[in-house]
Amino acid sequence: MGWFDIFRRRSDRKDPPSSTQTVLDHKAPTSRNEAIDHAVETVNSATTAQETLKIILDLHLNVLRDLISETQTFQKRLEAFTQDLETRLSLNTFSGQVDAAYDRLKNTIGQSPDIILRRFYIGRKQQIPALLVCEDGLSDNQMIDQDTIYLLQRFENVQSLKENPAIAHQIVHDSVVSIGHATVETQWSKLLIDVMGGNTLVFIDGCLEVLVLDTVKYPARAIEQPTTERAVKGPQESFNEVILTQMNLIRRRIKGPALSFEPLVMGELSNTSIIVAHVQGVANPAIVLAVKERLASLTLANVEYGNELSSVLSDNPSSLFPQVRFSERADIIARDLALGKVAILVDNTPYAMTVPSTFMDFYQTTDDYTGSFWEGSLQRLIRFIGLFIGLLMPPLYVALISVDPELLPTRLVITIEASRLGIPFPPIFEVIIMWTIIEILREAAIRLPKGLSTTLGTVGAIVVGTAVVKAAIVSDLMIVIITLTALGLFTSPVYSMATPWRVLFWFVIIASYFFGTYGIILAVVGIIAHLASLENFNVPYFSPFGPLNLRDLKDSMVRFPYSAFKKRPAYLATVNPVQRTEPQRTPMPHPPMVSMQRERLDDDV
Amino acid sequence: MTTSNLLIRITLMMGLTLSLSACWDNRPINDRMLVLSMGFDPAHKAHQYQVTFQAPTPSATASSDAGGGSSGSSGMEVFDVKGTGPDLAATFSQAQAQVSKDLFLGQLILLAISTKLPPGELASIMNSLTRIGTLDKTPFVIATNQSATQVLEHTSPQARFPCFYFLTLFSCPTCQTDSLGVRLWQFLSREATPGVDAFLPVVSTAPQGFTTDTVALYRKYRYVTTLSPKETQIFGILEGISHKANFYFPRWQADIRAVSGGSHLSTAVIHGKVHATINLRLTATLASIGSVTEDAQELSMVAQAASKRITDDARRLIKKTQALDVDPLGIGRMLSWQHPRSYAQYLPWHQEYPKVDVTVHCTVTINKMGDIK
Repeated sequence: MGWFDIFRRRSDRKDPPSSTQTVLDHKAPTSRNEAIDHAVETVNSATTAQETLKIILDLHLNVLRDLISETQTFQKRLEAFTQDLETRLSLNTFSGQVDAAYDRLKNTIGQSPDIILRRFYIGRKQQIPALLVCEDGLSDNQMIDQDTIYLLQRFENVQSLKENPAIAHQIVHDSVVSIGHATVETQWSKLLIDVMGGNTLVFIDGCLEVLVLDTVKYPARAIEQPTTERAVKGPQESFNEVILTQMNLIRRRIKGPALSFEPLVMGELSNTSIIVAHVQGVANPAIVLAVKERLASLTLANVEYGNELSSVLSDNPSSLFPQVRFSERADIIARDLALGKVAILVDNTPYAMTVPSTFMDFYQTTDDYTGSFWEGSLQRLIRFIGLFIGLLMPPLYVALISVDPELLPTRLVITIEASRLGIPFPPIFEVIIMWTIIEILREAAIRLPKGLSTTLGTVGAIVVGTAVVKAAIVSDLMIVIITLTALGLFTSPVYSMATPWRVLFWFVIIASYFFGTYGIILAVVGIIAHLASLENFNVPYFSPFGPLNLRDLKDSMVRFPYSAFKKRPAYLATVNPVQRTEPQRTPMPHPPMVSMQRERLDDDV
Repeated sequence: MTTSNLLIRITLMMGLTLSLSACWDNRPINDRMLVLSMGFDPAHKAHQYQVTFQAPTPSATASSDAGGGSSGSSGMEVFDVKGTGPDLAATFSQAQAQVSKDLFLGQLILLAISTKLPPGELASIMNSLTRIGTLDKTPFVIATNQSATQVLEHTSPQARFPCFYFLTLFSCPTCQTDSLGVRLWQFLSREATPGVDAFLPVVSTAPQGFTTDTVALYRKYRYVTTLSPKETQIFGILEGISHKANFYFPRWQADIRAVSGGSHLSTAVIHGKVHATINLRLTATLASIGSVTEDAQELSMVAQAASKRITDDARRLIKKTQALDVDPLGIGRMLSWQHPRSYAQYLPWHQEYPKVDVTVHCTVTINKMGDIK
């Protein structure tokens, strides 16, 4: 029998009559039947008590103590609820009685050691009971001690509070506390969430409104350099876990009033803050509305990671390809917002999301825009070359060595044959062995401490690479191919885009093994067809290649000069497509410096 | 469509695709015997021929730098397996029985054909070769007046495997006196096209390797003749494949080299007779001359002499081919392109070809005096 059963039985059981009532009742019965009824009732009560006692006796002593403690807490909680009910006829509304509030809080969230309940009096001479509630660790102690309690305890004009209890909170708000942001709340359901978020509650006896002081001060990481999206010349700021910091970093880049942050709270347990950000007058309202509707339609018990929302933000969540771009770089999110995209910030997730994202978005980096367009274009081309090498080189090796060797030049065939002499495995097993080793090294390098991982990665690669060749398990050519593959598949600047290629790699390998080069072509066509079929928020994922849009091609495989980016991407269907107007260049007049120099030269002569 | 139906269709499609794939017989290249050269010789029995399949030995492969020259090692570089039979399949089976690996013809580089091979057998060989799926019809074809096997077994210090010698030679058209390399598809194309006959470079063994300065003329797979080196040089000029032809003129003690240029063939039918005109516009380099300070007049005279000699030699060569009833220049083919209706009246072409009036115009320009090309 569990705790709940014991508790229910005790609750269901009728309360025994109090002693006074019992005495009166004993005097009252006049008929025999009533006496019999009482007797039966007494016997029943005794039986129940006996059963309960029997259960209790079977339990451990500590459990018994806990049971008593729980019962007492429950009793006090009930008493607090009763007081609220008597005053406001609602369990969800503060009754204005500090004692009741204290009892209620003490017996609910106050059981937790991180919740601080502080009873004190407002004023020196005349005093009004008050209660302060805060979350230890999430609230700023200095703001609570010096800017709240200290000032309230030394408040002189307590009489005004007593005379106007209905507006006491307003007086305190206006004249006493020196906290920048303070609001008022009456509902317990909201008050409890506020205090869990780091706010401080001030209950004033007699006042039905509760002051909610913004004393939030999270323990947070500093703004550090991006680790997954490094840039050579770009800004070196990345988000941390605090949503406010994320908003600040974006706001610093878009200072105009058009930048809109719309808050949401998700997660029945976590009450995680979510921010939907967009630039008004730029972003397509239909996309903004769709994002908000999709998020609102999602019910989650707990929002631990932002990625939990990506499924609802993707039209094809089962697709291998990510349709929501995550970025830890504030500059990238600000740039996306300025282009007309919608950003979603999630508290405790140091990566912001932007939608709608296209395939090309995952191959654009900060460095593409901080250097010249030659530099940016070259980098992008290298990325795609890396992708093609990474995706196709091992499959081509398997296809050309096993299935279609007649397609290779003879001299190369002889060279490969020489390198494969004595290798007991077919090429596909070579690929499987080497790629498994690479994946193991990669996984180990991620999990190990940084210093160790670099050493292990280098040493592991060299030692394992040399050893497997010497042991004639794989050919030396395979080492070259797999190294290029490993590097090529990670040229994607966004980590989440590397995963689909790592998975599709196997798909292409198997196709190459069964169908040779024909299979590779089939697989690549299949991948491109899948990419072309994806859509998110009615935006084609393969834009601007499919459907072809010449205007947007300027920022795709190569990056055109900035002067070519006069309009925002067409696929976003922005409210205001114009983002840049070039000035008419007029010939520069002779700078005065030249004439002055000439005069000086003339003087010298 | 229900899910089960969809699954059935997908499974069926995958099954069909897999059954059509070549995965069941795919094999790593080191488990195949890469036949690099094939030689075809007549057999002792009638209507049969001998085929030599030549592949590099594993030890040679392991120590090979493939494209480099001969290592000079004393070990065997290549080994031959031979088969004799009335068709290629029979010879292939015999050869396959002698090796442990799969005989793979997809990397064939060289086909050596003995000029003694009867036309029926050669036609049969070519017909069989076109039906090998992995063979891409790009191997070079050579003819030899010796035994094809003998040529294949001959080594050159310039290449580790004999076939690589010819691969290097024929892959660089400007490296040869005349670009004589003929790929299988070119040979087959000439044999199949009416109005033109095939030719093949003739290879003979030499102490330091091979000599390739003559061509063998074929008519419908029948070997007709082998042109002399001098005739081959003129043939190269007429075909427009000459790059390093040279002529000596004792009168001026002048030597011109790198004679090359375009050849333009045109045909006409005048009064029922076929006329062919070959215009040669050639350039040449003056390699040496008796007078150290040659003048323009002297050069012009050399050029005129060169033009005359090439014209005369060309006429002689064409007369010879007409006498042999073989049309390697493709005059009939040109007639069929330019005057298809007239060409139809002259079938069979080989009866008409000896009667064709052929005119050769040649202009030699010596414009790079003394430059070494």
